[in-house]
Parts: sequence; structure tokens; C-alpha cells
Amino acid sequence: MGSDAPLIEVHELSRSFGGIRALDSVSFAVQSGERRAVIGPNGAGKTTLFNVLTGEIAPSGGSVRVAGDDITRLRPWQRARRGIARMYQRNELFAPLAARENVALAVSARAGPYRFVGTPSPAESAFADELLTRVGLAGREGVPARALSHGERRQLELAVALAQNPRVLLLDEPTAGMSPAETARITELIAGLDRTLTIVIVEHDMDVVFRLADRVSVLHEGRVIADGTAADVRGDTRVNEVYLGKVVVR
Amino acid sequence: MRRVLLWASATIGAATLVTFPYWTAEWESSRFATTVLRDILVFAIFALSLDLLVGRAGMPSLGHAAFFGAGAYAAGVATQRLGTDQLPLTLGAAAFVAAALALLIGTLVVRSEGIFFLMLTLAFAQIVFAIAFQWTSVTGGSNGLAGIARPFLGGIDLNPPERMYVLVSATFLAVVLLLRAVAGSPYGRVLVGIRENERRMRALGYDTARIRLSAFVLAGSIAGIAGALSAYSLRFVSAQDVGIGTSIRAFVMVLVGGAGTLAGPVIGAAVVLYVERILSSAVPVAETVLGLLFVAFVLLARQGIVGIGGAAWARMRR
Amino acid sequence: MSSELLFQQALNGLSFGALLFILAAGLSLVFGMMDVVNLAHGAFYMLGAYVALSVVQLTGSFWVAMLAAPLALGLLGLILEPLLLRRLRGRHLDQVLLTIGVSLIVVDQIGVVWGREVRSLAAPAGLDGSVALFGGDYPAYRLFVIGLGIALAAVVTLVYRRTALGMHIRAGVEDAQMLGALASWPRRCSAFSRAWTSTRSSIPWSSSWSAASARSAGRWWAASSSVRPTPSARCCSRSSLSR
Repeated sequence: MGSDAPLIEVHELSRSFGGIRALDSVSFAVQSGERRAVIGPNGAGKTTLFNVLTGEIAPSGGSVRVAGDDITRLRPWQRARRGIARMYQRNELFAPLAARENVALAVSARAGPYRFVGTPSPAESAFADELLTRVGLAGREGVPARALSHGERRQLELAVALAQNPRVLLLDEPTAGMSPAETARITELIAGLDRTLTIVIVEHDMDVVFRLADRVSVLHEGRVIADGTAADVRGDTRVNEVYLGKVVVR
Repeated sequence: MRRVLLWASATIGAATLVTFPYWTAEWESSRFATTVLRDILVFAIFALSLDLLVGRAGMPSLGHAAFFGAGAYAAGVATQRLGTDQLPLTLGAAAFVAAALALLIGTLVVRSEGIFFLMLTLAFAQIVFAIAFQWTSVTGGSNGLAGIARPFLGGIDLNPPERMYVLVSATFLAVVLLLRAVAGSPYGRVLVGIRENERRMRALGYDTARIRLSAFVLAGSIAGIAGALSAYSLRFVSAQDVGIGTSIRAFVMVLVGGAGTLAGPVIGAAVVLYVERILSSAVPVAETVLGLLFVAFVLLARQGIVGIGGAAWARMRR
Repeated sequence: MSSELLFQQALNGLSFGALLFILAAGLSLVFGMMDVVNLAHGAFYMLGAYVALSVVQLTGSFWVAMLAAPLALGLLGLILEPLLLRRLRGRHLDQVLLTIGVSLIVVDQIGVVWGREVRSLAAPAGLDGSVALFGGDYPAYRLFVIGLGIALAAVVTLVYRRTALGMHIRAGVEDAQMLGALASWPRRCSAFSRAWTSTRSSIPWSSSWSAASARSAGRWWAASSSVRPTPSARCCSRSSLSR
């Protein structure tokens, strides 16, 4: 693979639910190490796009390539093995398990599940604790996921995704439901991640988007209506019409 | 120090259990007690294997008797047809046949979940029941297989009741140790992860369908071993062993005792066999008692006896 | 195979199919409308046959039994639904386990009350004979069962298509499906709860109906052969009456 070939290449991706075209011939490419935001009003197809990228929903047409390989037909777990990790919009955690165990499950995915004897390795737990400290959950390692506050669960979501040691990180509204202080903290946390990690982020908070993204794609009614640098998109009249206008007014 | 004490008491407890018929030999009811305890342990193994699915991996199978029965028939057929009475061979055959059947059925059912998984396992077990009932030349049909000889372990004849008991109790302890290790292992934690959030497990890179299948096969082969022990103990196998009734009994044991724990299924097996073997001679409505227990625990104590005990213990310490 | 025999076999299939339809109608009604998975349905069916047996012995009338058995089992449904099932709303697995427990109790108690041997019940006057059909004799009672099945199908279709209640059911089912496709759990929950509220007023009706189905299905066996646990009746019971 040439260094200039895109890491993620989405080609004419479509998906309908009943009569609704959630994705309508969506195409875009993300370079390795790039940070791309996908924005758009509610119902624009952002979460559906993520579901198709991770394989949880099959597209009705089009293809997804990662590092040149067609992964359109791969199952979600196979894509995860190829380095795609996801932070869910609604927390998808292991409620009764401790925060540390939540992260350790992600770490041990690489070692394989068929280890019938012995205990989970101390190295895994140590790595999990380190990640939890990084996302700001130091001291909360032993607390069950269900006993964490909403903001803490979002942080745990991020730690779980990072624990997969991914090439591509898909963040679905990382700051959803967070207080301004929490939002600021998690934004800086994401901004400080390794620059070789490719990030696609869906977000409604424009401050967060412009702080994090190198480039922005705008989805509207299942179509990409604009694609460019943050400044380009800010200046696009159509984008302002369908989406940014509302935000600016706020 | 505390660890050493714990291990010491566990070892003493295990030795006491295995030698039960010897130190009770003077009792008037030693024979009867040994038989009941033996059958409790056989069913405890069976219930423990079901709990690996129900309590650990969140796979509510209502067809687990298929593997118990397959193991029982395999052990019976192996002793009667293959002309061997060596325990490793007949017990191995039972575990193998049950595992193979679990692989076959599991491949077809592991992608379904919840109630659909339950109904599919029930349906496949009914198919196995129908085969057991009609394949007379091998299974004896409605007559079952009677007069199954108890096996030898090398030169040791396991026919005497106390030796048969030792075989069952030793196997029981081995299964408990195995499942305890599995529960604490990375694999056990993966099963809990699948139970709690299969979608996330997939997103983490776990091939959850295959892992569920592996649990199904493991549980099936342990159930097969329980079935073989039942066949040796009773010297008899019938289609009942494959039937829905046997599946339900195991489910009652798991639920009443407490799913997702090691002690639960064992306590559950003791309760169910107490009702069936001892209480039933006093009140002839054992099934009704079991049904009432089932209803009561579903409605009031989904965590089972172990859950109730744990909550009471926590209250006491506070 | 001669054509008469073929025809008779077809009728046998049809009458057994009608019986299964009557039985399944109740089961799917309870599942579709109340979202309850009832594994005690077979036990209720069996109980219906025994209640009918007793009523016939008492009154000598099949037709009184035909009325009394659904009423008796409807009453049982009225008691059991609020007592046991209402608090398990939406929890299918627990419903399955609970109703398995109920079926164990019901089947065992039938054995206590009616005994564990095979009992038989004759078809009523007028239906106990045979009808000449295509050169052979066919039991009139089985034709009656076919007729009953068709009549029930017609009533169900009519209720479903033409009444306000049927409209509510359809709305509930379609909503749940559509919202389910959007994979939005809270919305799906609310669809279920709406379906639940809209059908709650009809619960006594639906439980008695399901019981009635089990009962009339039980009758078929009662009259055509004997009262005994059939595979379907025992779908969840362990003890066998004929044992």
C-alpha cells in the first residue's frame, strides 16, 4: 500500500430502511492519521454510516475499503480484528463488571478467548488501569460500569475503544450528555491521542468538531453535501442552510 | 494463612464426600443415603453443565437432556456392543458422542438468542428424543437399555455400590474444579462478556458465535458424562433421559439453586432430588411441589437459594 | 391406495389440522396480543378435556360441557394472569419458566383429581355416528371438528379485519415491527407498552378464549379416542397419566 492511498475508502455506500434512504451513495476517503468529522442534522445517516463501517448493518450497495482491502462482507468481529474500534453513542458496556474488567475484555480480545485455565494476566489489568488513568478514571477501576455516572461511562467507553489498540477509531458523539467541563476534558483527551491514529468523529458540538477535525464531511438526508477543511465547510452556503445556521443562531 | 486454612478445609470436605459410604457403613440407612447422594451428584454434574450455558454464557437451553441422554446411550451401547468395560473408553465415548451432538445442534442454534434459542434447543432435543424412541435396534426404543454393566477401571471392578459412589463423587469434584477454573479464566470472563453485551463483544473482535458454540459443546460433553454416570448408576437408560422432563428438571435445579454460581446447581440438584425421592413418599405430589418451587423462584427469587443466602449473609454482616 | 382411502386420510389430516389450528389460535393470540409466551397452553388443553369429562359425567350433556369447560378455564386464566404473568411483562424467558412451572402443577393435579389412568368419552348423540362420504364412512365428530376450526378461523379473521379491537392489534404489531427496524429500544418499549394498554381491556376475553381453544381441542381427543396425555398435551409436562 502506498503511503498516499487513503486508509478508509467508502465508495457509493447506500442503505435503506423501508422507504427511507438512510445512506444514499455516500463516498469519501480518509487518509491515514487524519481526523475527520462527520456532521449533519439528526437523521442525516451518521450513526447508520458507523453501523455500516463496523459491519453491524449490511449496506444495500457500495463498498468499504480499509488499507486497500475490501471489508464490505466482513463480520463486525473481523473488522475489529483489522483495527476498527468504535465508541458507541449509547454506552455499550458490561454493566455488572468493574471498569477495569470492561477494559480488560477489550485488551484480551487480541490474546484470543480460548484460555480455559489460569487467571486473566496481571499485565492486562495493569494496562487497563493505565488506560483508565489516561481517560480520567483513576481511582474508579473497581467500580461496576452500571454504578458510574453518565460522564464516567462515556470516558469508560473511550477507554474500551482505545484498549483495542485500533488503527481507526470511530467516535459516535463522544461528548453526548456531558457537562461543559467534562466535554472540555474529553475533547482535550481526544486531541492528545497519538497522531498516527485515524479518527472519524460524529459530533453535534461544533466547538468540539472544529477543535478536533482536520477535515469535515457534511451528511444531509443520507448524502454527502460538503467535504473539505473546517474553514471550507464553514464557508459553504448550503451547509449553513441545512445545518450550521441553526448552530450559529444558538 | 487464611488461604491455607481454606484449602485444608476444602480438601477435608472433598475427602469426607468421597468416602461417605465408608464412614457411614455402620448406619442403618447407609445404603439408601449413598444411593440418594450418588444420584444427587450425578444430577449436580448435569445441572452444573447447564449452568455454564444458562448462568455463565446467558444461553437458556431447554434441550440439555439431549446430551445427557446421548451420553447415557453411548455409555450403554459401548458396554453392550463394543465388548469393553473399561471406564476411560465408555466414559470417553459418552463425552465424545455428546460433544459431537452438541456441535451439530449448536451449529444450528448458537446464532439465535433468548427465547428463540430456548425454543430451538427444545425442538432439537425433541428430535433427538424421537430418534431415541424409534431407533429400537440401538436404543431399545420404549424399553430402553436395561442391565448395563458397570465398568472397570483397570483391574478395579466398579460394580459394588460404594465404589460406584466413589466414581461419581470423584467425577463430581473433578467437574467442580474444572468449572471453577473455567469461571475464573479469561474464557469464563469472555462468556460473561457475551452474556452481558454480545454486540460489544463482537465490536471488540470476538467471534461470539463460535465462542458460544464452544461453550455449548463443552457443556454438552459434561452433560454426556453425567448421562454416562447415570447409566452406570441405574444400569438403565430410557428415552425419558433425553426427554423434555429431564431438561426441565435440570433447569429447575439451576434456577432454584441459583444461576451463575457453582454452589447453586448443586444445591438445586439436592433440593429437587429430595423432593422427588424423599418428600414424594410422604406427599404424593412431588411434581406439584416442584412446579410451585419453580413458580415461586421465578416470581420472587430469581437469584435462587444462593442469592437469598448471599443477601441474608450481607445483611447479617452489616 | 384407493381413492376412498386417500380421501379419508385427507379428511383425517384436515380434522387434525383443524384441532391444531384451534389449539394454536389460542397460543398465538396470547403471544401476539399480550406478548406472553405460554408453555402451559398444552396443560390447559389437557385440563379442558378433563373438565369436560367431569361435566359430561355429571350432566350427561356434551353441549353443557362445551360451554362449561371454556368458562372454567377462562376463570383460571382470569386468576392466573394478574396473579402470575402481569408482573413478568416483556420478560419472555421468565414467562417460559413460570408457565413450565404452572404446567407441572396442572398436570400433576390432574393426576391427583382424575386419576392417572386412560379415560374415554363418547361423542354426543348426533355426532357419534358416521357419515357416508365418497363411498366410505367417516366419523361425524371429526367433520364437526373441521367445521369448528373453519368457524373459528372465520371469527378470528372477522375480528381482526373488521373490529376496533382488531385494528388496535394490527396497529400494535405493525408499530412494533417498524420501530424495531429502527433498532431504537426505548421507542420499541413504548410501542410494546402501547400495544399492551390497548389490549389490556381484552385480557379476560383473550385468556378465556385461549383456554376455550385448549378445551375444545381437548374435546377432540376426548371424543375421538380417549383422554390421555398426547405429545402436544404434554408439551411441557413430565408425568404421564397413563404411566
